[in-house]
Amino acid sequence: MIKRIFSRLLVLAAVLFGVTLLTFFYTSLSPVDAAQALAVRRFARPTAEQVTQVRHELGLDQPLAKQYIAWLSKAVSGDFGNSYNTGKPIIDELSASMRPTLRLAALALLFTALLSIPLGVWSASGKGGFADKSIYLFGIVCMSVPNYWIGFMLMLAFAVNIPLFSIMGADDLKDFILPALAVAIPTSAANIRVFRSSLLDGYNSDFVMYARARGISEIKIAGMVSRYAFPPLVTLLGQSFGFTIAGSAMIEFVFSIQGIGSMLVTALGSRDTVTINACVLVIAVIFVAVNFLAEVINAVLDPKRHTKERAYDT
Amino acid sequence: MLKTENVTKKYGQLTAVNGVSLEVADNAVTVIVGESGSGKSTLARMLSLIEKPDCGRILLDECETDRRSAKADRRLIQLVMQDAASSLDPHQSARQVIDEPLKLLMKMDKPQRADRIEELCDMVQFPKEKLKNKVTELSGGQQKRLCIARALSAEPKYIIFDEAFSGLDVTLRRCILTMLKKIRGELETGFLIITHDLDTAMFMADRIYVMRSGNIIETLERPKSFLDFNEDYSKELVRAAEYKRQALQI
Amino acid sequence: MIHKILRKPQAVIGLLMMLTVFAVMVFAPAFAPNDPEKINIMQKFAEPSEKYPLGTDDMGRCIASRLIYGARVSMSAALPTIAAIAVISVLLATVCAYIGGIVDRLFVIVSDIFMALPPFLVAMTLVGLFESKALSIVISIAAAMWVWNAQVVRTYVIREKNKPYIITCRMSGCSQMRIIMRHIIPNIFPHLLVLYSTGLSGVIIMISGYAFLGLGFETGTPEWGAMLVGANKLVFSHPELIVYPGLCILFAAAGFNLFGEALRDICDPKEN
Repeated sequence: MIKRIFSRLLVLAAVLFGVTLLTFFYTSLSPVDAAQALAVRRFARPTAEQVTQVRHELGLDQPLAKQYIAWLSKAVSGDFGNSYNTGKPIIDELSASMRPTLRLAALALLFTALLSIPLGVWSASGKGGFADKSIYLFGIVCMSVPNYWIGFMLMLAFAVNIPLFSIMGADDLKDFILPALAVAIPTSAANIRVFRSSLLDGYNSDFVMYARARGISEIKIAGMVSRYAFPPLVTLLGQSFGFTIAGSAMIEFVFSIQGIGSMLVTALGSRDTVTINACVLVIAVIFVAVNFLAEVINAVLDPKRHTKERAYDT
Repeated sequence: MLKTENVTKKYGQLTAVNGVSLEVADNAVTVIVGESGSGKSTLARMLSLIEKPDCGRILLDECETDRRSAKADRRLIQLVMQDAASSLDPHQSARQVIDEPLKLLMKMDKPQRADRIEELCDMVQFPKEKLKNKVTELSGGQQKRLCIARALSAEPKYIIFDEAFSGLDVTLRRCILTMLKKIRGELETGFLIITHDLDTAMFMADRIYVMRSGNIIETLERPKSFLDFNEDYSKELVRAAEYKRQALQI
Repeated sequence: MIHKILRKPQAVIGLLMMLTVFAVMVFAPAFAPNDPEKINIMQKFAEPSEKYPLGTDDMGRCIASRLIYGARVSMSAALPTIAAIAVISVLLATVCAYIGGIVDRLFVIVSDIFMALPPFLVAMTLVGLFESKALSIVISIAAAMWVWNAQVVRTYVIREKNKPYIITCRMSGCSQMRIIMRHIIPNIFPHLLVLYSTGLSGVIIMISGYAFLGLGFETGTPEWGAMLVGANKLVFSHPELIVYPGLCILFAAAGFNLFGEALRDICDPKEN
């Protein structure tokens, strides 16, 4: 068991390393010359020397590999440099933006779990019935719309027509309820299907049949089936947390939240490569870390489970 | 002559086949009898060139077979597997199943293939009107006949039947075995039948090998009755078969 | 299989919805009452009338026409994207799964790394890369999503490859290529169809997300997501401008989802 965790950690480290490489590589593909852009911002009509000077300041005249190493070593200690756009240290803006996005994602995770689990159980237990079919159909509808549109609809319903919530702001938790719900609804739709499917698999499987034959109580059986059915759901929940953070831009636009998503989009728009790198890195690291956490939880829940997604065994 | 020379195959700690040397005669029926786990299926897989032995050699006409030259030998050794349904491509029609080897291995052109397919259907008593049906629409017996027809279409020197009759009901089995006996009389093909059923073995065999735990413990030439078995283990198998027959007596 | 599809009401409904979207996409000029890009500030926020069946937007453009042409814009970006994803993932996955060995191991490791990046992120960083904005979208989404699809296809190929009938095919003289093309792919084709029709709905939603953020299409393009840009300001005054584009996205995506899910039930009739 310890060996498994250790080897997974190793893979994790390799993946993180690969992620940083890919991030750096992707943003370096940008055709925009950051030095040029910054020089224009500074000098309005920069001369060639001024552009070169800026380029040297930013360290952009170094070979790519050196740039990467310099960037990575600083990033590890939290120094992401200064934004090309604002000139201020990125780390400050990052920490400020992370808070609302994290709150959003956490609340969304809670809502997703609260929606997926009961509805999944309800669907599975009433399989084929009215509740099951309605949940299924409603689920398909929810999966077929962007979450930001659901955000708008929720806003219309609960902030405009029934003024329950305000339409902007990210001050207290109340402001996050609608956006989190908007994110949670489509995610839950997919999760419910998966959870229902693994529950049904579990209840139909041989080990449950034998357990019933041995006279084990239904409650204990429910526990056994849960341990079997939860892992795919846990994986999905972990993934969705990461996806929420990564795709938060749109919801943040709808509800005027200054989160990391909006920060990233602004940086993309102004070709602020350093900020882009920083945001992408942070988001990717969170994504990988949360997925790893989900794996660990799964290993604890059911250590004998072979993760079938890793079809190494052919 | 298809033979194995001191062939061994291990799966991890388990030795499935342990230094076995046997011969599959041309133009005769060789049967390997044994219980589950005796290694006979593994032997069948190696003889059909699907797997390579860990030690020892497989010789086809005194030439060592290597996986690389297996392509040329492939036509000469055909296999009929236990479960007909899973050994057929579900999206093919019955006609396509037989057509494919005729096209690829025998290199026949279209009219030749059509004629040959008719011949083969007659030989295995496969209803011709079912040729256009998808493989999944056929009955178990029809699927089995189709597999046999496919094997025959390659005009091989040897056909290996790996527990191919175990899943059939008794009357169907009798029917197909009788048909195979007749076919073999007409062609010059060597059959290797792997089975755990002694009745089948006695009905078909010109030579019987008895296998146990990876070894050949007895060889019988032209067995005439169950009394021909000498080894203790073989006699145990005979007794077990008798119990089955007695238990079924009404 | 066509019979099975036609017998399932959900599949038929999904199919009809898909066909409607395609029809609107192809025959947009015939359906649309006005020029979707024609600005007419004097007529902004007009009430629904005979000339403007759904009224006009903040620039006086006919909403109905914009929605109709929106089908064309969305689908003409979404279809090449899913096609690219399909080609790349099927090619790579089939080759790697079939060859096996080191190539396959490498593929799994590389895709693990790619899958560690949330697709939205990958797509966002690539979107500004090319001159043509539409091309940017296609390539960035394809680059982000191919891994996830390839992994699924790989599982299908491996499952198929290990089935006994493949041995029979080899014995019948099939070359590796023939087995892949004539035996494996036709048998996994229904599963691929499920994957790519539900995938298409996901792509449509992703594209609308980009447009909403202002990345990828020229301003003013009649695209459903783009029509929601700046919708915050309209929430109190003209909520219908927010509702309509969303409903269109819903219709299009739901059509593909319904069809795909119904197809999935046909192919894997296990518990359903």
